[in-house]
Amino acid sequence: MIGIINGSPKAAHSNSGLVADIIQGRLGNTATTVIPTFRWEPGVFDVLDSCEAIILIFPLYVDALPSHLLRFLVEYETSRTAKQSGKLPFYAIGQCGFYEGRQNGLALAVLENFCERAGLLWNGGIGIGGGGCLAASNKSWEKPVVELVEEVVKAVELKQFYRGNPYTSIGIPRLLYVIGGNLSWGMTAKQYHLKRKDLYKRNYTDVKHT
Amino acid sequence: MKLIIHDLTQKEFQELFPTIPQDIYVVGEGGPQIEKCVGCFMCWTKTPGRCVIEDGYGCLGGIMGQISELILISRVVYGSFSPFVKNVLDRNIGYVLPFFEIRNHEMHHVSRYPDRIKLTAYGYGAGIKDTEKSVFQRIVTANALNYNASVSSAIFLEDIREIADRTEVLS
Repeated sequence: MIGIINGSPKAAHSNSGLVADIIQGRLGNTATTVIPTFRWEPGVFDVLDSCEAIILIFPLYVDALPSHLLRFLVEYETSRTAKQSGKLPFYAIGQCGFYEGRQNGLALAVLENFCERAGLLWNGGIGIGGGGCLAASNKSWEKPVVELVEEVVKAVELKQFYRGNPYTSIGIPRLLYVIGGNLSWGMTAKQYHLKRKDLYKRNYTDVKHT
Repeated sequence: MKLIIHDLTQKEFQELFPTIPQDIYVVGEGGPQIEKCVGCFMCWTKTPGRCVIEDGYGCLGGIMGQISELILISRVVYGSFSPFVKNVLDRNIGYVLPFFEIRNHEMHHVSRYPDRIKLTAYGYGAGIKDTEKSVFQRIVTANALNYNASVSSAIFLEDIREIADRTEVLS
């Protein structure tokens, strides 16, 4: 069994969940178990420790891992230290809203350090850029992402260190992604009866105390 | 004006800094429970600049728009900030705009506020590994780029009590 940790704070409809779907499509539902992190029970760590390998999929938050996922990993490390759990191969897939997949690099480095502390075997990872377009379900846009994720899955199946290209982006030019992204914020604001110019508001907080 | 975000208890912080100047705003772990960011982006699209979760931790973007320096005091966790300090940062991405621009050959968010801040991070803990220090330093540099900060620095403390000797924190 391969344990897939969904590192999204969302209960559903996450981009990390879409990447988990790609992996499950390759490995099969019966060979994988998906562990959510938007909330968790302590028993989840025993499930992970019973797996042959772990793949963590996470969204990039402020250049690193989201805080709820850090809490999850700290608890997992504590559990593994207490039980003196054996080494397991650990892979990671980061995805971010920025176009450049390499912006996930620091979060992957944090995970390598986590593996060292938790007694897991860091077996490499990848970073996906342009995560904002994953939900568009456009095969051409997804192609480079799916191809790279499948390369990682091959390494997982063989329990080998992933030595391939670590980063990719969604299959559209960066300029198009930036323009499309900037237009989309204005369209989303309309749902809340705001205009594009309203999004620039300087919302100064009244500082009344120290 | 400065903003200090730390992960110490109120008692620990008061022992280290018994007197806080009026122009320093402090957010620490000893307060009410903080909710996690759920990536809804409503701080960009519904209530621009402010998180929609009303637990008192999502309005710091509007303070960051008025300060000269952001000081982070955090246990180093795998080279990252501690979960609490990271939680506060995650909840205040409204400090920048949702819109994108290319800066340093990479995609980043456009600044919401006109003044550029200084970012100083004190990473503490016994036995921080060199690899963790390296990642922490690089994260602080990356954060500074995303915040469009004018300057940044990462300082390591083996024991948090050493910070009491750092007069620049409150000056």
